[in-house]
Amino acid sequence: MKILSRKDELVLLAVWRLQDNAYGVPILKHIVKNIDTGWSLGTIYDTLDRLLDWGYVTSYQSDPTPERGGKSKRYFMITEEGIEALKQLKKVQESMWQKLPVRGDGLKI
Amino acid sequence: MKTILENSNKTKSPPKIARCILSRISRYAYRDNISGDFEELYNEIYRESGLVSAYIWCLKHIVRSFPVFIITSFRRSTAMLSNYFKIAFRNVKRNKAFSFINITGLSVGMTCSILIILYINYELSFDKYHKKADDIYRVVLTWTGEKGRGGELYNVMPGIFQSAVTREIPEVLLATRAKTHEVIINHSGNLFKETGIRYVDPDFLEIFSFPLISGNAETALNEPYSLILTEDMAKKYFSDGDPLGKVLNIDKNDYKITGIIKNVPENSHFTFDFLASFTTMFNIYPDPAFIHKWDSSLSWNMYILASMNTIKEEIENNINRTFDEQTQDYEFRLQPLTDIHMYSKVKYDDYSNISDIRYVYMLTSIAVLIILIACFNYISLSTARSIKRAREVGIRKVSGAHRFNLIRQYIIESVIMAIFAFTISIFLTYFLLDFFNDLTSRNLEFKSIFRGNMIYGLFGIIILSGFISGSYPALFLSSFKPVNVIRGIMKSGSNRNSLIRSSIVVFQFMISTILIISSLIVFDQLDFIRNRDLGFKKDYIICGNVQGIMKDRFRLFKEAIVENPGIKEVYGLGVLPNGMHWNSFPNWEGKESDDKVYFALGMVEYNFIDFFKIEIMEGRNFSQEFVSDLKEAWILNETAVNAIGLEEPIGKKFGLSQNEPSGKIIAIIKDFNFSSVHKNVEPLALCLKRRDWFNSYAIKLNSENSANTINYLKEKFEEFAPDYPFDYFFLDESLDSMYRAEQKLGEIFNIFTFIAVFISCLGLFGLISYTSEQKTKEVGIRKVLGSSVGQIIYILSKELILWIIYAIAIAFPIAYFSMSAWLNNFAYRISIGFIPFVIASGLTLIIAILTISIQITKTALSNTVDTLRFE
Repeated sequence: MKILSRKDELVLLAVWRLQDNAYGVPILKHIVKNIDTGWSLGTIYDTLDRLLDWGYVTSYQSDPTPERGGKSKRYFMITEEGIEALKQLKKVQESMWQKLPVRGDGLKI
Repeated sequence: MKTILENSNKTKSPPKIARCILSRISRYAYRDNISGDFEELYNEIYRESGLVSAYIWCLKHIVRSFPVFIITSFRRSTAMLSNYFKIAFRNVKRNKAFSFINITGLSVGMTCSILIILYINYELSFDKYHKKADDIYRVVLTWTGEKGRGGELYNVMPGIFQSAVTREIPEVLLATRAKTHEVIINHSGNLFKETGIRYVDPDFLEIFSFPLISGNAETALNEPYSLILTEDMAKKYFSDGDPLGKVLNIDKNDYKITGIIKNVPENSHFTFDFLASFTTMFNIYPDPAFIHKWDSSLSWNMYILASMNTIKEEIENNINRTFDEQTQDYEFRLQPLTDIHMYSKVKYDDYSNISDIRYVYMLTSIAVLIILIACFNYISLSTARSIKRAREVGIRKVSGAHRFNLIRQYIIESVIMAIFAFTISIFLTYFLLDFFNDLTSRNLEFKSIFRGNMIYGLFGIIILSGFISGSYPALFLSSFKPVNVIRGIMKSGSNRNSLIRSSIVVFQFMISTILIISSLIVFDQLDFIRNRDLGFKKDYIICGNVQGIMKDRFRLFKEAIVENPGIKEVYGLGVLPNGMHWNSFPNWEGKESDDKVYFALGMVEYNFIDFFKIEIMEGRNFSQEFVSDLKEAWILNETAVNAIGLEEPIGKKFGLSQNEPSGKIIAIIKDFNFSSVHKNVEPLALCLKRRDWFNSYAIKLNSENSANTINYLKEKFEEFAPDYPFDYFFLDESLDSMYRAEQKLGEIFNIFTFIAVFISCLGLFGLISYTSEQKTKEVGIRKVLGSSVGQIIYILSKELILWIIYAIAIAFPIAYFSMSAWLNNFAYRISIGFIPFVIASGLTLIIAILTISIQITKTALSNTVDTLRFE
């Protein structure tokens, strides 16, 4: 099983969360809102491209709408494997966070 | 403007360029979606905060997406790349002759360029290895006023300058004197002559970056008779152990070894084998105060270290202002250390490794020309055979290739060719490097090709030659209209194309002709100066210097050897005809007070004029019968008499004293050439030597058995001076060596000329092969209709021959003017006659005709049945 990178994880979570509205602009906004730094659209597409190759998301294309200069939207949807990968990642993270020792000054992390 | 209008019109699309870049940041299939997303975001920002913010947002995104854009565009454009490679290799394989001609031409041309880049790289690297190289200057002086004579520079400085400059000029941090000597080293009974000992101040090690291997740099040169050896010298004299602290006997004095230094890199304008402390000088010179005078002790080289970020001119002005009083008739000039090798222009800079920036320019232009000739071969051959590839172009266009794709394909093809040629040329360079080193008397290393900036140069060669040769064929081939191609109405040579081809041939042969003419003229000129009558005899004369005890015993030695039948005459000790380096402003009878003429002075022996067979025009030779000769006799050359404008000079007063000339002129001799033939003969005054300052001798040998005589001299010499080795050279060889630079130039010229002609002929051969192949049918029909072979050869070759005649015609004036400019460097030069031009044009024509004749005769003689059967 592949361990997802932080970037993959964030994009994948955004796609899962946004459900039916998961295309470029909302994904970007969702991530930016949560992590508070600017990402570029290219990063999102690049990541999605990779996730698509791994089979963690599927995509379909909407019909062109007039309000975007006649350009269609590409929606993404998380797959079973994608959800599985996220769960796996969470498990890894939790187990890694467990039993961290107490630092010398008694501060618990 | 347009986008702004669009925006105010409520269309609210981002600018076109932004759309173009931003939509290409991911895979092709997403292009529309991304573009749409951007438009949505853009609109949102536009609505919320207006056009300016939207624009800024756009700009920010373009900048951020740029790396991804580059990567994806490249990734996408490589889709067809494998196909381009495949086609390129097939073409190389299918058209063997074509590929052979191109690759050979290009690789030979590239080899020349690589060698020349190596050479230039090396030349420009001189003295740059010093850490403080940018702040080090050599101080030289130039005579002011009348003495100036065109601002000649001399690197002989007053010894006191070293301490004065560091004390008085705040910008100058350190200074060192340097003086190179020739010495005899006596090492456990064996004598060695060493020419590379340099007496320097302790600051020398601080100014220059010569790392000490052992010893203390701070103190190594403080004490008198301290000595630092280079690694090589340490190995030579102390192969059996650490020399530090040991003693070496130099010129009868014991020097203590205080350090070992790394060998001096070859790319240094000065070199040394030993460094000795300057304080030793005070013990060597009988009158140490002499070193501390401003006017009389001009004999030291001087280097200073300036503080960082100072301007050369300011220091120079400051120095000249400060020392104005002390230096009445000269001024100082600074030479940046890294400029000395290329731009020195110092007179008598004997111990420095000096070159001339003009050689760099000349070699560079030749390399560029040769590469151009090779690239043009590719262009002319590709367009000539374009018809063969027309169908491919048609198919590609029909299948959806844009013109841009085709251009890219053909450029890639020529770049592949260039890479191919480059690989070969790397091997060629490897094998030819030794030869090239001989030619340029440098020591270039093959491995430095892969070092530092060289890689950019090499990369540049590949890309440039690839692009130049690919450019025109790409534009031309990609312009084919598929409809015409497929209907088969391609005209093989449109007018524009044959014009391009003909101008290429004209250009190539023009360059070749110019080079042939030039090398003929260079050869003539070199021959001329080598065989020129210098005005004195130089054959079968050996010369040398004597030192120490031999100076006193030379008279006895002379008497002893003169008995030998192998020896005709002995001269010495005195100045040799090519050693008149003393200069002065003499005084003469009837001289106006502000009349100053710069003379070379020669202090000679009685038999100087007879020995070197110099012709006396008027008056009498020095003679021992006239006792006063020793004190007051002067012999002037013709130039001198003309320069001071004396009528009936014999008997007139002449001398060096500025108050009252004490001597008198006893004879006028014919001009003889005592310096380089680059210069005109200068005014010269000869007098008899009055002091034992001179240590040169000359011995005239019988032409028979001269080797035995030299052996005999060696034995005799060692008998008289067992502590000094017998050291001699042939006068004519030493004079020849003055023109080594020119001779090298001549050789280089010949070789490059040959290469240029060779590559041009390759191209011509290729071109004639294709044109005659295309005319096969025409030839067949002409033969059927009754043409003779002769007529057909005439028809086929007429055009080419005409082009070459044009080329020759254009070459004449260019060659004439450039060679006149070159000849102007020589005081004695040939006039450019018509013979080199006749020979060169004849040669060019013959070579060209020979090249095309093979192919043309083959076509003309071909069997009509075979040629017409093609359909």
